[in-house]
Amino acid sequence: MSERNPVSRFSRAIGRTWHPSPALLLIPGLLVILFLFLWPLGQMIYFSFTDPTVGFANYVRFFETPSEIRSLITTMEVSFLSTLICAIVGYLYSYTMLRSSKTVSNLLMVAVVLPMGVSILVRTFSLQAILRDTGIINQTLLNLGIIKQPLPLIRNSFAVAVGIVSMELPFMVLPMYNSMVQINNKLLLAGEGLGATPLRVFIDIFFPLSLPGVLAGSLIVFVSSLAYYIVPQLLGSGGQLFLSQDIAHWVQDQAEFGYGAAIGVILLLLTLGTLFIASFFINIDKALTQSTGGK
Amino acid sequence: MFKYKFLVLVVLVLSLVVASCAPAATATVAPTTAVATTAATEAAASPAATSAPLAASIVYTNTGGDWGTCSATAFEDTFTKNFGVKVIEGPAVDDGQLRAMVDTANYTEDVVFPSVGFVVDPLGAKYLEPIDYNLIDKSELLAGTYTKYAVAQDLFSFAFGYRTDKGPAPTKWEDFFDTTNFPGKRGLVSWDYTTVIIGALLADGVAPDQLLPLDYNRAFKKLDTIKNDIVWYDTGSAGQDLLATGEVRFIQLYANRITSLKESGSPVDILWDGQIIQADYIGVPKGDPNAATAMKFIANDVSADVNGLFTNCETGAPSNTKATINAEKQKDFPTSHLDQRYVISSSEEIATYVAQHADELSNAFNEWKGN
Repeated sequence: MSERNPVSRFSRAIGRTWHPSPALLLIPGLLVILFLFLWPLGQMIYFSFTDPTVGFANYVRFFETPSEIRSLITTMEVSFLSTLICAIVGYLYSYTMLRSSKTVSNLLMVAVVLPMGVSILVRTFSLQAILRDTGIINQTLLNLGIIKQPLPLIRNSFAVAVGIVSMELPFMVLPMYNSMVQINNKLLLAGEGLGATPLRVFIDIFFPLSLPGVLAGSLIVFVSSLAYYIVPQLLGSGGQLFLSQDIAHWVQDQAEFGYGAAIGVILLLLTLGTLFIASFFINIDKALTQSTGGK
Repeated sequence: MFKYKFLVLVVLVLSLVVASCAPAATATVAPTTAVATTAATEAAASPAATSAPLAASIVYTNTGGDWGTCSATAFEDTFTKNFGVKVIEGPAVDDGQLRAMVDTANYTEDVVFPSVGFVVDPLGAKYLEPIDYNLIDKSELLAGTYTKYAVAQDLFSFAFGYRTDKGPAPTKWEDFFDTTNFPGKRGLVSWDYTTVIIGALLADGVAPDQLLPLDYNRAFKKLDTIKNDIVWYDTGSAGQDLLATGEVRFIQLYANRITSLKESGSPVDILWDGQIIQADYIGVPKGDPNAATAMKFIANDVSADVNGLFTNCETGAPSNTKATINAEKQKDFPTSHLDQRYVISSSEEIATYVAQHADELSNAFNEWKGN
């Protein structure tokens, strides 16, 4: 212990050695999470069990109402569908990025990541302007005489899926591209050298090796799209609701906090349940770091 | 290292427990204080109403836009001029926030716009101060525009808006449901189930004074005839967009939005038959320490001198029948078309019925809408 060490001077002053642990630096962050996240979350969970009566009444009510069950199924169905489409589109996009020159590859990366800087609300409104009956697609087709009536491109699950895929594509492409880039080209050459057709090489060597990225990306996208609110609100039909729209309706329009909180808890459990089941198949830590590009 | 991690964990768990107990504590404390203050204000109201000191400032809900600027000149400035009290503009307060305000005794606004469900018992008794009718001349107000807990600042209505460039114009409200002669999409308001149900019942032949009890099954059957053509809109401006772009041919929308589109040159027109008039109710949250001053603000709003001033900049109808109004805009007032079929859905009778059956109606509506 040297004279220049302030800890040692302090320790000698109080008569015992005290080495502050670096873990103490976590305290400010933990306090923020505590007051801005955990406390409100705890209150909402509390409301769900006590407002208007103590007990499971809100949860029983949810599972006894057909329209709520429909919302639950719609949320899961449309999220699953969107994840599937996003996976296919994302895979094609990542593969293209892999097989292009460095410049094109960088351009494609920028093209998929840059829109994230624009607010999701603005992007959803512009999708609305594109897909609606009086929007660009329909008006062009009508004016060209290709169709006589506007195509039903909006206010249905198709539009919601388009919206979700459009917002979630970066989160799918990044982990996929990451895992594809790490595939050793020599393995593919070895396959060819042993006489496999390009198709066999893809199916037997490339695709299985890229699968971790596909699963990681799909998990992120699925779990994110369960919670979507703006996209189904602006692009969906008023009838098929997502759970998040349900919650907004009960809390804002009907002022029933307990019921809304209960639906929120159900959504939370759905999300955590999905992550839990997926953790048996995927390494969640790795999936999260890959989806943010390791940053 | 073990000790610190353990400490952190204990702190987290303790706080979760505290958080769960906290709302119970505030919830039980708030009602008792609210009851105490209302008892005090009611005792003070009768003899000492005019001599109670005015608050330095009150907060009035003003959501901006064209209506907000109009509202400021008509209501806020006149109040400050007449009473010398500063009026601060506050953001919109929805029902959930009103409930939270009263439950936690944390008043962020003094004059709010409660929705129809809150202006009658039982919710009115819990969340709004009874209106001080010593300050207001009820005889001047249009019937059906005031309740025990709230008064209409102005009236608006949902009327039949239609595109003039998509075919022949409709002549009556029943045409909204006639897809054979008038094909095309129809816009309906997604949150106001009372308006949708009443509209359907009127079109099905129910007389305006025979609406209660609301036969929503009959209304849904009528709405099923246009089910595939319905476009639900979530905000007034979204509805206005639908009509402005021609996304829908017919729409049940706020009358002033239809008329303002018409005035700006869009190929739209309005039909007043079957309009559903509603009150823009204003009230004071229960237990508000500034309640006395807020009551004066409300009284000022509905007085004959002030109530019609907003018609100089915006279209709507004053609730005070003796109010001075802008003659040029009079043809666009909902109250200028009372010779045709109309319903005041915010009247005490209908509002009380809707408040008592709110759960049943909204559940049935959501069920039908989700199919």
